[in-house]
Amino acid sequence: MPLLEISGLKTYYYVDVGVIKAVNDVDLVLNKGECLGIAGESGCGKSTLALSILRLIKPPGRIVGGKILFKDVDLLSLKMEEMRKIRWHKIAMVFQGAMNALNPVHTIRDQIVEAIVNHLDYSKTEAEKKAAALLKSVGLNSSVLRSYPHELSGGMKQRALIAMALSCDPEILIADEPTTALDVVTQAQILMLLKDLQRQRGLSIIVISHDLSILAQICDKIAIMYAGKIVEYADVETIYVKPAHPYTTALINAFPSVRGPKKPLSILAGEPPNMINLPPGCPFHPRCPSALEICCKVEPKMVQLDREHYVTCHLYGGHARKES
Amino acid sequence: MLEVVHLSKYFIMRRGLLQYLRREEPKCIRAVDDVSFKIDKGEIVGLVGESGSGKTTLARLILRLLEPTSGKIFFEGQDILSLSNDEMKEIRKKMQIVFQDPYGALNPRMTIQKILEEPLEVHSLYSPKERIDIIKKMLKSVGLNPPELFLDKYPHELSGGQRQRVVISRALILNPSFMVMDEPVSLLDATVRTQILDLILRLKEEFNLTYLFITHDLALARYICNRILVMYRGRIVEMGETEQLISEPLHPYTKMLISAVPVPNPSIKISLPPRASEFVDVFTYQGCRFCARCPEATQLCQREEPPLISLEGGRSVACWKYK
Repeated sequence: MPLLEISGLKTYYYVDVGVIKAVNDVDLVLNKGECLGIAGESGCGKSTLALSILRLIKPPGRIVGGKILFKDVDLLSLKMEEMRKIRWHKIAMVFQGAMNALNPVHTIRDQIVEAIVNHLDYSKTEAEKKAAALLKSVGLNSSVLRSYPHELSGGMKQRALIAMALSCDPEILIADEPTTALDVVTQAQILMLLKDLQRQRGLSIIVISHDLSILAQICDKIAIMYAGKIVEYADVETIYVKPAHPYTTALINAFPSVRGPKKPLSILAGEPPNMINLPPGCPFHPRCPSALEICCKVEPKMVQLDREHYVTCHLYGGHARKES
Repeated sequence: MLEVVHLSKYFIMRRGLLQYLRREEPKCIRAVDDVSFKIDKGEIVGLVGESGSGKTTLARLILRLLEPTSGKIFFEGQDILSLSNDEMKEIRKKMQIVFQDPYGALNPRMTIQKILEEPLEVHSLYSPKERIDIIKKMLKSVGLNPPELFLDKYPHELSGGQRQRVVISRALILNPSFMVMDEPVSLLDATVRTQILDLILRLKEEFNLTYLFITHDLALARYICNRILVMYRGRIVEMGETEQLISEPLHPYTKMLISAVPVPNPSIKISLPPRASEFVDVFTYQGCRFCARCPEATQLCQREEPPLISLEGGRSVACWKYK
C-alpha cells in the first residue's frame, strides 16, 4: 500500500522573467518501508519536489496543481495548522548542507530539545532524555549533547541533524543530498546509518542526490528527474542493469568506478536546459545521443515498460516504437 | 620536476591561561609530517585521503603559500625555500593552483575579463591590447565559446561548471608547467564533473602540464592519475602506480578508502571494516597513526611507527605487515 502518493504535482516559480516549472506534472509513489531515490542534475527540480511534499515552498514559488496523498489525506488540501501536525511528526526532512543547518550559538542539546518541546508534549527533562536516546540511535556519544556545532566534524553534524529529524518518530524521512561535502569514509557511514534506520524503524526514506552511485547503495526504487519531470522510474536493479532512458544511461556512465575493469567515462555534453525557456518537444533532445525527429516536436508521454518500470521517451512508445 | 624531501609542517595550538600557568607543553598538530616524494614531468600524481589528512596543507607548502617547519622543496632543480620574494614571484608563474570551490575562488565584483587580466597585470606581461587576445584564446581553450559572450559577465551569471572553467583558465593564463588541482570537481554535478575532468586531461596534453591532483575519491583518482599517494594524518602511508594500488591495495587504510567508495552498481555494496569509525586522539603520535582504526593492528603497531618501506614495482607502504 502506498504511504505517499504524488499525482500531477506542479510547483512553479513566478519570477520577473517568466515562469519556472520546477516540478511539472510529477507522479510518484513511496511505499511503506521503502527507500526511494530521486536523481538528477542541479536545477532539475529535485529539492523543489521535496519542499513541495512538506509544503515549504516560499513565494515566488507556488504549488499550482496536483495531489499529495499521505495515507489517503491530500496534504495540499490541509489548513496550515493541520499541515504543521504532519510536518516533523509524520514527515521530517534533513536539509542540504549539514555544515550550515545547525545554529552555531546553541549546543546540540538545546537544538534537539527545542525541536522536541516544540512538537511534542514533553517536559524539558524528558526531552533531554529523549535527545540522548536519539543521538545514541544515530551512533553518537551523549557527550555530543554539550558540544557546539563548530566542535563537531561534518559527519557528526549530519548525524545530529538526522537525530533531530527523527525526534518525533516520523514515518517518512526526506534527506536532501545527505552526503555532499563529506569525504568517502564519512559518506559510507552516513549511508549505512540511513539503511539501518530504514530496517530498524521501518522508516520510509526519500533520498535526493545527483550522485547515482550513492543511490545505488541504499535505494530500493529510483526516479530520474530532468527539467521538472520524472523521465524514468524503476527498482534499483532495473535502473542500473537495463536503463531505458538515454539520460539515465548517460548519468550512470558518468560515474567512475573503483571496482572492476576500468571503463572509459562517457561525457554528456551540454548543460541542463534553461527552465524558463524549455526546448520544444522532449526537453532532453538537444543533449540526447539517440534523438529522433519527433523528439524536437512532440513531448513524450510516460509509458509503462514493465510492472514497475516507467519511462518518458519516444524510443519506447507512441509514434516511434522500437525494440527495447 | 618537483621533489619534496622530508617536508613537515607542525601547527602549534595556542595555550589557554591555565595551561600557560601550569607550564604545559603546547599541543601540536602534525599536518604534514616527514613527507618525501617526487613528481616527474608530464605525470599526474593523485594525493588521496580523508578530510583532515593534510592534503591541502601539503599543496600549500609546495606552492610556498605556507612556510614549512622543516624539509626541502625542489622545483625544476631549484630549492624554492631559499628564494627571496622576488625570485619566488618568477617561480609562481610556473606553478599554479585550482581551488575546490568555484563559487568562492572568483571575486564576485570582477568581470571575467578583469579576473583573467589580473594575473597578467601582477606580472606585468603584455600590453593591454595583447592581453585581451590572450584572454579570449584562453577562454576558448577551456571551452567557453564564444569568448566575447563571457568577457563582461560576472561570476554569479555563470553555472558551477563554467566558473570552474574560468578558475582553470586563470591558472593557465601565465603558462605554468605545474598545477595543483585541489579537489577541482568535488562540488560539481556528475555530468559537469566528467566534462571538467575531460578538460583537465585535454589541457594537460595541450599545454604540456604536470599535475598534483588532490581528491578524497579513489574512483576519481583512478581515472585521472598515473600514480597515487595515499595520505593519513600527515603521513604518506602508501604510494604506487594507480591500477596496481587500486587492484591490490596494501595498507589497511587504502583498503578502507576503496571499500567506502560507492559503486554505481546495486549488486556491489559498500562496506567498512570494523573499528573504521573509532575515535582518534589527534594529538597523540605514538605508534602507527592508523592503529586505532585499523582492523589488523598488533601490539607493535601501537608501540612504534612504521617507516615507509619500498617494495618492488615502485611501490611503498608504511605498515608493519610488510616489513
